[in-house]
Amino acid sequence: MKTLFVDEDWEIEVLLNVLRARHPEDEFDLAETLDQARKAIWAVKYDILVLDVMMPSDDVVVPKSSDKAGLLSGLLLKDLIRSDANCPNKDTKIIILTGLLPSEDSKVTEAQQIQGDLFLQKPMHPDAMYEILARESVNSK
Amino acid sequence: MRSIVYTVAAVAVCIALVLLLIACASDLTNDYLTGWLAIAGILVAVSALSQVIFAVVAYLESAALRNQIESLRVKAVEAHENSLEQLQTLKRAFYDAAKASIAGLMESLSYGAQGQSFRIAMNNLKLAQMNVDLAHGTYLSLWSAMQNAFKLDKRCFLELESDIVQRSQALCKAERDRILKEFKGLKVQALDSLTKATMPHNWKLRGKQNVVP
Repeated sequence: MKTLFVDEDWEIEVLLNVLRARHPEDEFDLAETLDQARKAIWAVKYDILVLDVMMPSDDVVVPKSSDKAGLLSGLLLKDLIRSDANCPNKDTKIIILTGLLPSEDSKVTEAQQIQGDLFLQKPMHPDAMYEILARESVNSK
Repeated sequence: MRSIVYTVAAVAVCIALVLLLIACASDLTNDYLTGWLAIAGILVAVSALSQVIFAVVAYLESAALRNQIESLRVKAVEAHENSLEQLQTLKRAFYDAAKASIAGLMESLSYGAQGQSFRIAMNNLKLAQMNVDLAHGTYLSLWSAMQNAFKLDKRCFLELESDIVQRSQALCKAERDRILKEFKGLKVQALDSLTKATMPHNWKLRGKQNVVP
């Protein structure tokens, strides 16, 4: 299973360290900025993408991400992935992982409704996270 | 400047004396008087020469002093830059150490059981992270402190305002403007959600006033 996490939080670095130690057979990549994320997503095909909603904005990489101080930057990145036919991850399963409550913004509420059980709330325990990743990886095949 | 004035004055005195001697020598027939005038002229010329020498010495001294001051200034700038660099290194070391210890605690929690206690402990560690991020004071660390506070507690986020403003003063103008703009953007959201949370259900927002129907 090849997964990319897009998040700048320490918590995710730790989560990935634990996942890598426990599941060396799987591949867990991390992109800490929108720029790194865009480069990785448009270059490599992943089984699952895990996106944070609130990333440091970068209007060049993800247009309008500085609107609302990056509050929706991860959702905008998701829209970019889905709308680009040339993106190798256009149809890859996307999990939204955020510390925000759905009530923070109507777009976040909307994302939660669309994502259903793929809208996850931080902090995530590594075991719970891996269970979901393994399940979704099987479902997507 | 003083040495230039002395030099000019001394040269002027010498020229005047020479001119006077020439004038006297042509008018007087008395060799005795001419002789005394010549001696007086030589004395004045010697004193003028001493002024020239003094001016040259003053000039050389000032040049040497200027060189010393310049080298001291260069050394002071170097020392200042070195201490700034050391300060940055210490700051980075403090940040890395704090990050390592908090990340270590997070990791040890991850090896424990899942559940509510895991969530609460992780959130407490995030609050600790927020303080470390604020102390570090780079654009990204301030942003991280802001967004963690925003996610964890809106009131805590609003209380960060003076800290963010103060810490942002150390950033370059572009980053300062950006972080303050982003804080304002989130502040609107935070105030909005606090208003929603504290307002009774039967209240409605009409224009800018809260009106009880």
